[in-house]
Amino acid sequence: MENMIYLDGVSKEYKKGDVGLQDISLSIERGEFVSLVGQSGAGKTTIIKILLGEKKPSKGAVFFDSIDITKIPSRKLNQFRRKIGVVFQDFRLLPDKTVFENVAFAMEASGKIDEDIKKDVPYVLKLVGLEEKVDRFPRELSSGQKQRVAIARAIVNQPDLIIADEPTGNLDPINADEIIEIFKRINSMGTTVILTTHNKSIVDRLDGRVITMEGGRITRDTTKGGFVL
Amino acid sequence: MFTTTGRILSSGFKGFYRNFTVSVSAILILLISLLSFASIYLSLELIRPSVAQLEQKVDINLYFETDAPEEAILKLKGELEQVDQVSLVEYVTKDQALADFKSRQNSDVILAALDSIGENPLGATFNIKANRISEYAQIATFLEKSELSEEYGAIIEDVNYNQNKGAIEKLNIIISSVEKFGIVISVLLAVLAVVVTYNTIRVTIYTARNEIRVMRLVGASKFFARGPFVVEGVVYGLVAGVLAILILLPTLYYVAPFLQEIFILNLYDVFLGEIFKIGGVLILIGMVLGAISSLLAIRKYLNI
Repeated sequence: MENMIYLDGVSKEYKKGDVGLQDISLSIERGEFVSLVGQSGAGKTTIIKILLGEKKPSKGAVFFDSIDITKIPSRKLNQFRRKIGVVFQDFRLLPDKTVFENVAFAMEASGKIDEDIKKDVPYVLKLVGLEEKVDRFPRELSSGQKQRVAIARAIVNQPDLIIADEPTGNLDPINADEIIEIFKRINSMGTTVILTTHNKSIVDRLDGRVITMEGGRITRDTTKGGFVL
Repeated sequence: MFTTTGRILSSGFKGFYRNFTVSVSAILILLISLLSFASIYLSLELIRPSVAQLEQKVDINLYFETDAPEEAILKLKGELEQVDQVSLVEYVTKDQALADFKSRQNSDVILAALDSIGENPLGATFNIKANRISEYAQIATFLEKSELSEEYGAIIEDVNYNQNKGAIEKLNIIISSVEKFGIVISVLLAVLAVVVTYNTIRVTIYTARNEIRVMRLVGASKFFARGPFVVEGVVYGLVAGVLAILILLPTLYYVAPFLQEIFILNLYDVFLGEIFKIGGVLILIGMVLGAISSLLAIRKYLNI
């Protein structure tokens, strides 16, 4: 398979001397489903922020489709980010926009035309099972429904990569399972998925590649494995 | 580009009415700022004619001897008019002075007494006005020299500057203090209004900081993420400007007659006469203040 992401000797140190990441080298292939596991403070979120261009590493290079994203200027980052769909633990929906508008926002931001928006948004909302809720505001939805909206927003631009940072952290087990099923479906259509999680049963059930982190280092990287800490 | 602008405008307007409570508080603060700007402007308008009228009442009178030859008087008039600080020299001739005196008198006894003298006992007069009230002292210096000079010493009977000196100087101090105080208060109020408005809008944007972050993370450019907030700021200003006019109109309608008793001006008429200018400027200040505050406040949240 083709290499999509490559981290080359990436370290991140914070101002007070705290170490976020220590010499991480890692490659992820197109179409992979990777679980990133580890305790709080292990460095999972730091890797994700670096992949999104939100933080720059103190050392090392980060390649996405052979482009070093640490070198992308701040004003061009948004164009790069359109290749990635992000899902957060706390959903981060725009509170004053309806379900439809939240999903449409990602398309509007990337300059898609209205016809495409009218066609694609209902389609992805149907894919996540929310076709009945288009006019609702986030405050009128349950946690599981909010996370589905966030997923719809993440996939609507047909990104090459989906990054899901603890997407099941605020969900009950049934909703969590359903969300993971959606990610599996997305991955089966060819989209690369990086999932960070604390949830052992989810990782075990995925039965895919698991990267385990501890203290800013990768301590285990198994192509088919479970949650070991 | 048109699509993007359209989306930003639509998003800004939606944000404005969906965040109604936040919008109302921002508008109220902007409204107070705009009303204070308007009050400063109108107070200055109100004071200006009163000050001008007071200044008009001040002059220096130069009294000539009754036998002063007109030729010499006219020569001095010419010289006085050459003095930079002099704006006007009003020449009241002997005959005019007598006519004025007679017209002011309604006592037959006095008029009869005048007739019995047989000749005009009044001398000619100059009423001299300066460009500015602070310039009377310089004119007085010129007149003092003339009074002592060989040429005019014999024909000038008196200059009343010294009698009015104290009053003129006091008025001069009062007027310049009022002007300075007015400017200081205006500047202070204006700065206060800008700071309070900026802070209010900063708070509204602070509450939306996560939203701005998410916008950036899902691929919005800085322009696209910033746009709706700037539009909201402009709408706050527009609404506050219109409200300010709607509040000022009836308020001035009721207050103006009372103020007119003290000052000369009817503020309501002034406001109505310049409603497009004042209203336009108020709305413009509101919109610019709203837009700039939003632009400044959002800056730090866009840098991700």
